[in-house]
Amino acid sequence: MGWTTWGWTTWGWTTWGWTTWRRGALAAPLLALVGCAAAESHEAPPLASRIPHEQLATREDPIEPIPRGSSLDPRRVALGRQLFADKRLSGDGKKACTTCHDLARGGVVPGEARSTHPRAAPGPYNVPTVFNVAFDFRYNWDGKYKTLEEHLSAPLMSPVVMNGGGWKAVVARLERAYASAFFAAGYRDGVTRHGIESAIAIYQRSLTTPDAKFDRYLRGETQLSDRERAGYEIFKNVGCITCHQGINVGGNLFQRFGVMADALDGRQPTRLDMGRFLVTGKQRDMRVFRVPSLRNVALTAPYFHDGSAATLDDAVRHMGRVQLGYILTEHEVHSIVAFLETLTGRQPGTRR
Amino acid sequence: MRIGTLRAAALVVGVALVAMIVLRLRRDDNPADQMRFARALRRSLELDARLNEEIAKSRLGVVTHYDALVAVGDKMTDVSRQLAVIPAFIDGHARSDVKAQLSSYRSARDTKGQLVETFKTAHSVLRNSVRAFPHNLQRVLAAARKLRQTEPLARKLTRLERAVTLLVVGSTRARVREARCALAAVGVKAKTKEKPQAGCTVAKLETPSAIARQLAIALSHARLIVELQPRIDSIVRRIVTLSVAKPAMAALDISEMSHRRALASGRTQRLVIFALALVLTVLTAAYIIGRLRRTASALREATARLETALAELGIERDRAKDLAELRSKFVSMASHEFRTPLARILSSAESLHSGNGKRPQAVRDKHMGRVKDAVKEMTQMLEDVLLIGHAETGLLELKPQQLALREVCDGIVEATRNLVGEERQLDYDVSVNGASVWLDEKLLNRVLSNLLINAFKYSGDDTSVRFAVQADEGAVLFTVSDQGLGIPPEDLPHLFEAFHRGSNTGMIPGTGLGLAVVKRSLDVHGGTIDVESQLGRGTTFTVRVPFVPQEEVEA
Repeated sequence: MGWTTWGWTTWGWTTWGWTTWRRGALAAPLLALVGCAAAESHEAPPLASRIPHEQLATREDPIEPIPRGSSLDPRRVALGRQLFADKRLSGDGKKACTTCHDLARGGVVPGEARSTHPRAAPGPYNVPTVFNVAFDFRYNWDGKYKTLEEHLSAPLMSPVVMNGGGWKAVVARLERAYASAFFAAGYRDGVTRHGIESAIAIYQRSLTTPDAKFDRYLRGETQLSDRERAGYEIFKNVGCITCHQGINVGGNLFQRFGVMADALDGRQPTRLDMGRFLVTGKQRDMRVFRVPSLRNVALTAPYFHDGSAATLDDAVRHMGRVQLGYILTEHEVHSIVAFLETLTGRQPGTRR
Repeated sequence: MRIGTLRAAALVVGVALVAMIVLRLRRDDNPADQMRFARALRRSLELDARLNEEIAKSRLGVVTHYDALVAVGDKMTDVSRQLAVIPAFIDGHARSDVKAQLSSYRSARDTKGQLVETFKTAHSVLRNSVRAFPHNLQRVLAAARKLRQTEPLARKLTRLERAVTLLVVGSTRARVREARCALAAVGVKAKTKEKPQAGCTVAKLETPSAIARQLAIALSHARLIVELQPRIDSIVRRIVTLSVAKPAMAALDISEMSHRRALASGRTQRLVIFALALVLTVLTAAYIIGRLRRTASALREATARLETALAELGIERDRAKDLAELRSKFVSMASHEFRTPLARILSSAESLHSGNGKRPQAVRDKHMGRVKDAVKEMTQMLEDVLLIGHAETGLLELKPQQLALREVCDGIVEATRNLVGEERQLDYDVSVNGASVWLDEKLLNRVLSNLLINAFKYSGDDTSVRFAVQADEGAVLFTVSDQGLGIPPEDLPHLFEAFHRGSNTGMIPGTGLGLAVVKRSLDVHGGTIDVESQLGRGTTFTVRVPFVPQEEVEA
């Protein structure tokens, strides 16, 4: 071997080593930055309540208005919107997320008592709305999932819901149509399980309903009618507010269905009535459910996990009796319903 | 060899350097990692404090919703996820320590999370009952007062109200007991794991049906309060006392220590890398210098070899030149020396011819003699030339035979006398009577007759020539001395070269072959010849010829 070749190699090493040493201080943070960027894309999904803590507990009112702005990446929201309505997610190509969560109708299919549900047997749950899920602290009636990302697999892979047929199959079905869209939305690995979960979850978080009449009232922008204000007072005085509070008027704690009386009214309980017991297996979680949000409640009939209350009046009456031990008068019921109707916000399907 | 060692050393150092650099790059002890980790740990402490605060606020009813609690819990989960990645610089024991601390942190946090969930569930119910119970009770009491016959009931209910109110303020053991007893007194048994105390008997309560329903609701609120308030207080106590701070602080301490250590070892690593780079530079420089030096010495060697080759080439060229010179000398000699006897032969032949056979016999004989001499001379010359040619090409062979030295010498002297004439004086001195030696007669003949003829030829007619033969140890010494012209010193080095003639030979005819023949013949014989000469005084040639050893001859 010629000495020049070897000599140059040696010098190459030397200079490299030297510069590396010299630039160590510079390179390390750079590497760290790259590492951060890489880590960020696969970071754990954020939890439900994305409300800055500082925004909360600043006022006496137990209910907070929904913030108007959004800091979500619009590219990912757009991608999620597309996916949410894409029937290719389901195994038979006939169901999209929108099949059960109709955005034009309060994020549910109105009038349909029960959805087909992963743990369907013996009977399925009522469809919860997809609106304002950003402010829910858990997902599903039994609160099994902590994030929307975690939750997506359940309906998608369930044989009775979308029957997606495994993530490989789902990714394969979407790959061709979405590859460029995923790259454009900043998912560097293209169509992946992570990307699909993330995009759909981000889109779901964008589905908030701000500017409800009650929110505008809280902000001092409008007045409630007498009946609505009376309804709010009854809502507070009777005790509904102890569970239905916070930004989502519920959705931030678990509670037993039937504190003061048997909520099933003597009906034979089924597996699905066990609630959170199905998740934790603890006796104290028997018939404990996630307290649902009351936002847009006027649009999401029927009510309760089993869809047993067909109208809002029925639901209010039932809640007062079994949860609070209070028999509401017709007047009180109507007032509360009037108040609940002011919780209907600007629907994402009908943006101005 | 040294160069090879240098190169190997440089290679080793280079590999070590690269390994160190790779190690350095892989061992990430950059401050960002430590900052992230430490920040997460501190944040976990802060969040824990905030959780305690929020729980206390909720317990006291300062905050009327649970969003803040949920938000803090979520943030704790996020921080806990951040803590799942332990920075690389924490290794060995420290790593397992941090892992242990973090796992106890996580389990404490999980317990706290579950407690918070239980708190929310129980607290929302409790809060409602605490608010609803007095209203309900007042309504029952008002109804009872209207009935005017429920004094004991009212007393019992007032006792219950007082006990519950006290309980809500703070659930001491005594208040809990009192509240339970008060509850038992109105016929309600609280669900509790503890055994009912003495004196707390569940009394059957006579209730007017008009207020029965109202009372039942009020009492179930009371029961919920009695059941839940102690539980809530114990949960709050547990949440507040269950400190995640201790393991988090411990982990923080360990991580900071590890980071300091990593920084120190990083400094050492940098130093080592620097030193290695330095050593590598030096080695490389030494290697390059060594290579250059070696190249220079190789160059010197090559130059020397080239010079040798050039010198050899010069010798070759000289020899070629000599050969060419020899040839030209031969040509000139031949053209001159051969012409003389040829001219003599021609003139004699012409004389004989022109006489038409009428010349007297004496004249004819004279001419015939001349022709014979000339032919002899030419033959001699040709033989000389042939001998030299043979000698030059290595074909001259030694053919020794046993000779009687005395007889041989006598023969040579006789022949020389015949040639030069009886009038020249020759002192012949032989001291080897009867010696018998192995020699090549023909060559010896040549040597001695040439020397003798030369001695006569280049000396005056009135001078004498001395020829002595002596036997030495293993050799014969022949000495031929004259008192003739002598040889100029400048001619001595070239004396035995073919065709070379002394510068003072003048008109004396000669081929310049005689001494060359002598020298070559002696060379074949292994003999030597020495010359002593004084210009104008004479010359002495001393020839020494070794005997050919007997055994060699026989073999």
